[in-house]
Amino acid sequence: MVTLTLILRRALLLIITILVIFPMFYLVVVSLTPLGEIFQPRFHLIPSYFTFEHYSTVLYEGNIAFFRNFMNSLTITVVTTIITTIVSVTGGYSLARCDYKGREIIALGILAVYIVPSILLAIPMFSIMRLFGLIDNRIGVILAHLTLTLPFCLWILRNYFLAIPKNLEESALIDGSTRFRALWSIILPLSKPAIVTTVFYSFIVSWCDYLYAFALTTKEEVRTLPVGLSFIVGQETGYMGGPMMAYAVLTTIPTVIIFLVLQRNMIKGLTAGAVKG
Amino acid sequence: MFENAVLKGEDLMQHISSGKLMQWRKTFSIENSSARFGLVLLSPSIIILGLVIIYPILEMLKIAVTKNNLLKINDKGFAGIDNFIWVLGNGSFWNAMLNTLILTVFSVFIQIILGLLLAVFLTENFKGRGIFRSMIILPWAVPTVVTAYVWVWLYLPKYGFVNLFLEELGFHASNIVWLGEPKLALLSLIVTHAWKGLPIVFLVLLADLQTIPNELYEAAKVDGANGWQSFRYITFGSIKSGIALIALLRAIWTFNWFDMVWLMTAGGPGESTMTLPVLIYKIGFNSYRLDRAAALSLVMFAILMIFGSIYVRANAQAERS
Repeated sequence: MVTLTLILRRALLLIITILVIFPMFYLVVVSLTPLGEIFQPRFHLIPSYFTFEHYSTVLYEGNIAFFRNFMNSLTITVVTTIITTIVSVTGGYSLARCDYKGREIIALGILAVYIVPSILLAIPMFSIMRLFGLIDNRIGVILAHLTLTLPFCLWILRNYFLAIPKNLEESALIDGSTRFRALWSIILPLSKPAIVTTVFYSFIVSWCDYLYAFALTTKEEVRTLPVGLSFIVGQETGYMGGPMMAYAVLTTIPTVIIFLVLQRNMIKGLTAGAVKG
Repeated sequence: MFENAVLKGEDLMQHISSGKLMQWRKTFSIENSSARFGLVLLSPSIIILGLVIIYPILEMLKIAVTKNNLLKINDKGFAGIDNFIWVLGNGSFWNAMLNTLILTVFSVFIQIILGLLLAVFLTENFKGRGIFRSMIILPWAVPTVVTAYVWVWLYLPKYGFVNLFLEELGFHASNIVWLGEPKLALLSLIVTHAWKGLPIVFLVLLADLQTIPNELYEAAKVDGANGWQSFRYITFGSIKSGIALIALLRAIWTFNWFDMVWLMTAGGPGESTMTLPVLIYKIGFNSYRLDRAAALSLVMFAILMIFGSIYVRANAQAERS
């Protein structure tokens, strides 16, 4: 039954959604707009023709160094993700299943650490990294990223493991298997959703990080994609328009793909953490 | 012979349920699996977290009570609470505090209102609902850097889409410098922050809404409640605490957020958009006063904790009444 309120609701939904979507749409459009048409003081949106010239500029021009930044980002993000996943799975399992003193306190400690803001850690981290010669070093950035990924992932996996009934492993143990094999062949296959969430959460957080990648580096050889973008913008005549947008689109593609592919999974994993934590 | 067998059976049962067999069984249960195994598994986590979080926090406490001017390396030593006094007496600090509060309160407010609206709209089942949901999540998928620059671009005075659009609608807007005029800059940042945070709020509220059982709505209809009443008492009533929770989480996150403000205005023009995180960065990395920056961070964290606990307590009380 089509009522007035229904029409109003749908209209409002449409308007809000358009407003939400628009900046991203605009980003893509500008990245494909020919240089001459970008800076026009009159109202325009869709250009008269689309061009990939900015993507060419970004990918092949020397001083933008897209591939170098990309490889830095990729290296840092992949290593961070691998370490996070292994450490969170083992740590989470330990906190969920094994019995030792202080277990609960450690779990609470991890939650407390999650609340600490990253700007707070950046100050001492800079000082410490300087001491250990880890400035301008990808390892330093990786360690910093671990502060962003580990607390949350440990917490998620611990909660997830807690929810798995214990008798599954117990029957395996009685049959003589080692605890490690029980973890490997029984628990892990069951934990796919949580592990997937962990992997992609780490990936996205590490890929998108700006603060640490910026604060802990000074040389351009180790810049990541986000940091590189901030330097393009600062260059030359303020905003390089087209190339900047193309670079931005290329930086965003991995995260958008991950999001669209895994929405349902991420939603389940993340709201569980938010509600419980 | 028979009685003997039965008696033996009873004996056996007693044996099983009481001592030895149970103990023997326990060695195979998870409970008693060597704590050592658990600790071994946990050690990577502890080592890493200790290294990258605990150690820096301790270091920061140390830095905050020393005099640490990177530009004058010889000027060092214990400074007690000097840095904290400097912070509390500093005009920039209070200005940043105010800005941060305004930014946080307003952007979270917008996120909650719009997020709730969207969640309610998208709980009803209609064709194409999934597409809308996917689209609304997009701002979350975009890296902060990209968000910042896209919005700076939109806010550009002469070529930015916002002004061009306003001009098209008939307002003489091409001279409005959204990020350059002190009064407007913070407002513009509020909008951008709200945009970026909306997807998460939407998702959480959507999940919360789905926990409300349909029978409540049906019962209300039977009792003669109209749409608005059923919304107010059932929908809103059921998720009130969910809203409070996500509002708190978003507020903490926004309060602590460095990237967006730094990239869009770096605190400018002047100090009209200076927030606490940006101020900390400037004092620590631009002026090289790590000691004062550390003190400032601790003050900021303390304020956050105080507000947080007031909020939580007020919320708990509201729940009880």
